[in-house]
Amino acid sequence: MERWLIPWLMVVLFAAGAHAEDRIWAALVLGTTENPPRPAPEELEPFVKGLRTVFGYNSFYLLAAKEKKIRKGTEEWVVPNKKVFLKLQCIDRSPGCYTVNLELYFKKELLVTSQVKFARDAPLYIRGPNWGKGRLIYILEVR
Amino acid sequence: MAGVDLADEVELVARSRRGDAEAFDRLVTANRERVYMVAYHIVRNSEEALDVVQETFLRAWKNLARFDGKASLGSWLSRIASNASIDLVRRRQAHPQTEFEVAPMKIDPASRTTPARSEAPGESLDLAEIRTRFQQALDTLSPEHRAVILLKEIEDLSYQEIADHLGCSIGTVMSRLFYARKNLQNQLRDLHEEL
Amino acid sequence: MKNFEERYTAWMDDALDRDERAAFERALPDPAAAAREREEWLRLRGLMRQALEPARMPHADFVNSRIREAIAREARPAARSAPRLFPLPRLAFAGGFLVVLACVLSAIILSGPAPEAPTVSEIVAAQVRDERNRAYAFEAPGRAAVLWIDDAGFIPANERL
Repeated sequence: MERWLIPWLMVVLFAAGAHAEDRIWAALVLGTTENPPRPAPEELEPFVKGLRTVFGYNSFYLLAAKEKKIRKGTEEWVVPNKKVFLKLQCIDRSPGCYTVNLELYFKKELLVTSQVKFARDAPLYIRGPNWGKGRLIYILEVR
Repeated sequence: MAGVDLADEVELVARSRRGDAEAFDRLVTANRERVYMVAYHIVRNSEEALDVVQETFLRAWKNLARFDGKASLGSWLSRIASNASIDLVRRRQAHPQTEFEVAPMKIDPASRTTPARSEAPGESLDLAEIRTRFQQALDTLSPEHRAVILLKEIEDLSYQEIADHLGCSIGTVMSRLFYARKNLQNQLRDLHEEL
Repeated sequence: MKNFEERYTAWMDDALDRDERAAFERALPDPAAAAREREEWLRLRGLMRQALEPARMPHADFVNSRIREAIAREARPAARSAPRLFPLPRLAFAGGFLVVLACVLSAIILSGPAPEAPTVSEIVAAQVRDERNRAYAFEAPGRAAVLWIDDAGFIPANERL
């Protein structure tokens, strides 16, 4: 590398901050009550205590999960299916914090709009519709 | 196709080439289901299929000058989608860690910690297990073989329609169907023997 | 149809005319075995059609809006490309570098300590579409935030997503 480039690179890296590698992990989970309770899949273990406390179910199924880069200004859809549809749009970011607008649709009808400030590794749970005797729950987490 | 006949299509393509985004939007509406169908049956994942749809129309927008009108616009779009989908599947196979997806075949069915994809809680165990078996068997096929079998058996398309969608000859479609059917019959012999 | 595989496929699909079918069946080494294979395939196909659904695009209109957005992004003037690398007089280089460094350092010093990144996700606003419904926001164990919608709908147990 040319030696004169080094100081410029140092300034650029210093100013760039730590945004480059953040991703949002989104999962669609089914919570149920079963006897005996089913062990949760490994991916859900960090959330089981919180999910049990909030929603009261003792068993959780991971229906789908996806990790994507979180980028300001673009819309993303989250594990779409024909019944429930979650749309995200990152509208702002600052160090360690992403402001996201989200829209949750049920059977093509808008259920709720929300604005959330995501901290890293601090999940958001969204209470979705009942499915049979269980309930669909979205988990979103910036990592 | 939703309300766009050939004359309309020619005009909408011409307007889109001149940068008319509204005209292009109408072409998207008319062709999106078809493009999604092709993508879904190759990638087998709704979210990725939607990504392919977006990628397909973006490529089409950028390359409209290359569309010569010899084939229909729908066929041209389907071929772009088919190529984009196959590329995605091959990238996924080359770098399995970059996507985080629940894959039922990795889970011991006896453990039941994860239901098969889109299994309904009230669905009979038999149908859910049969679906899992089909999905596992289909996942072992190449994307090209998987596409022809699903477009023929589930979407009920003709050989010509499948050839148009995938950008290959009718003979190729029929040969691929031969091998895909043999493959599935061998893998699922216990299923059809029980019937 | 050129080869055996193509003719076999057409035979399986009943796509041969009477003469072609007769000729094909005469040429089979074991017509009974082939007929059994055909029956087995038809049974398997029936099962496949019960188990798998045609592809239907969820929320198609969002695709249009995403494509429009992607096209609009493409249309924005391209970011200025990186300046061509050509040799600068050393004095101009050093001066330019020092100016930039001074600006960065001043911004840091004058802005005070960097704001601490939040440790908990926060629901800033939530609004339900239907006036009869309610949405709530609260914290949960594990630094979690919860968006709770009272009536989020119901999907019967025998319906698939």
